[in-house]
Amino acid sequence: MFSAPGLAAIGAGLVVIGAGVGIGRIAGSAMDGISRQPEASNKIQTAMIIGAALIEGVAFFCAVLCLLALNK
Amino acid sequence: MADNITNNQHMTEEVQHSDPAHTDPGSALVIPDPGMVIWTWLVFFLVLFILRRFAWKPILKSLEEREESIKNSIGDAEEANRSLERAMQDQRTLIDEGRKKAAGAINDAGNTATAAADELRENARKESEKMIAEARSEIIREQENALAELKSDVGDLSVMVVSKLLDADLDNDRNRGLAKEYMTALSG
Amino acid sequence: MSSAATDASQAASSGGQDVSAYVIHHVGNSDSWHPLPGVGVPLGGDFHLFGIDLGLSLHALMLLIAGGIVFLLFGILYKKQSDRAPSGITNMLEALVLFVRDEICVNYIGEKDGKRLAPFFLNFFFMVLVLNLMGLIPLFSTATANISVTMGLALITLTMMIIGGIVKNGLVGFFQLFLPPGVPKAVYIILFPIELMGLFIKPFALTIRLFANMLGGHIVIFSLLGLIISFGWFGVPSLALALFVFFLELLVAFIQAFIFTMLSAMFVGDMMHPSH
Repeated sequence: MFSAPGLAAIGAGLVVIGAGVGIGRIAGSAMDGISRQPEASNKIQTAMIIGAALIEGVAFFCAVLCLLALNK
Repeated sequence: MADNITNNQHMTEEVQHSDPAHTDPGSALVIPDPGMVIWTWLVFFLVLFILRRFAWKPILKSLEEREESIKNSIGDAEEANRSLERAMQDQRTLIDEGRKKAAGAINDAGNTATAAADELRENARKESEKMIAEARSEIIREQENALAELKSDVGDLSVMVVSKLLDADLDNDRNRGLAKEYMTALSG
Repeated sequence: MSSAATDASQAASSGGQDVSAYVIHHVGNSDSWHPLPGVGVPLGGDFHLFGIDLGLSLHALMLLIAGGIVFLLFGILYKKQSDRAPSGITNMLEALVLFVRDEICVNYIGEKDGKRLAPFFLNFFFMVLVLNLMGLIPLFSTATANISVTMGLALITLTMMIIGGIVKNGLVGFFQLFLPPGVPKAVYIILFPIELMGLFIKPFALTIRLFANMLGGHIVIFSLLGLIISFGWFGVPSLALALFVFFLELLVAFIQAFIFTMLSAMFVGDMMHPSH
């Protein structure tokens, strides 16, 4: 059960949980902001995309670690 | 080439690299390969230097010029707008002043006419009042004159009557004075 | 995508091992180019320079083709129309150029330096964009899914950061960038290595972000297609899911190009005009 590929897969799953929660909160706040002030929706959208990409970067970093662990 | 394919029987391609990255196909993805890094630099800088001379610089310059000319033309348009506004404003003030002057002149004429009429009326009234006052004072004078004559006539008459009654020769002055005294006491 | 499907059915045997090898083969670097099923073009050979293998591999060929496409777009297809409003390809390219120059360069580096360094970041943006988009066309392969390529690009950013920092602040000033003011002197001993590590972690994050985004998208697409290997004809409905992920990949290609350029500009701007 504790084989390297299995653990790597579990690790990748945990990383995705973190990324999902983070990006979900960003998107939720962005929705709130847009609904309160539709005129600012362009800026909010841009900021949301940038924030989501940064969080995904961290998540992918750990995904790459899992990929490395998969093969060792 | 054959000695590199140790456990790669599943791969359908021949791999010519002899580094450890390719003995384990999964980790080949995450281990950097210096050759590719150098290739990347090569292509990047090649494209950069070629396009910088032939494309980026001219394009950026022409964009800047267009922005400058747009800004200038907007500035010119605004300047023209402003001077037009000023001219129109001047025109409007002139018209207003003219209108005000005309109205003023009309007002003045009206005022003068009314003033003249008023003055005439005043004069007429004053004249008439003066005449009335004069007439009144004359009437009073005449009255007083008539009264004085009447009084003196009545004095004389009473003296005559009394002298007739008394059959005496009255001294006119002294009796007239007495008659006047009695007259004033009666009428007073 | 069609070549991938026919390749999959050509692989014939059903087994998880084959799927993983199939995925890795399509996503990773190799030494020959398969534009059409059955047509293989062996590329360049063993060209070793100081012990580094500099032979023309698949991804290197993709890099060259991308450079050619960018050159074509800007050198030849872009017709300069200076006296009327632009239209067509010129319009689209000009919109992108203005976007990169104003929102990315001038915003993060400042007016004067931003305009001077604009060609650099324009090159970053268009190269990464074209490389990402080329990976979605069946003929070509994604060069940015190769960690060496993204590492190369991030190393260019690192070089620009260091050079920009030294040129703008002087050598002593460059090291003072890592000693933020308003901190008691004793803490500098701990803070300096951490800030120095921060200098190197930023481009590392750049390379991992771009690489993993591209790699992940393609692995998903090829894994879904690989279901056809495992299940034969019953795996064909997975094509719909693969198509959906394909469109997602299209969006991610644009976003990742933009993020890479923007973060590079932000890092270089931080080094040149520190705003501590």
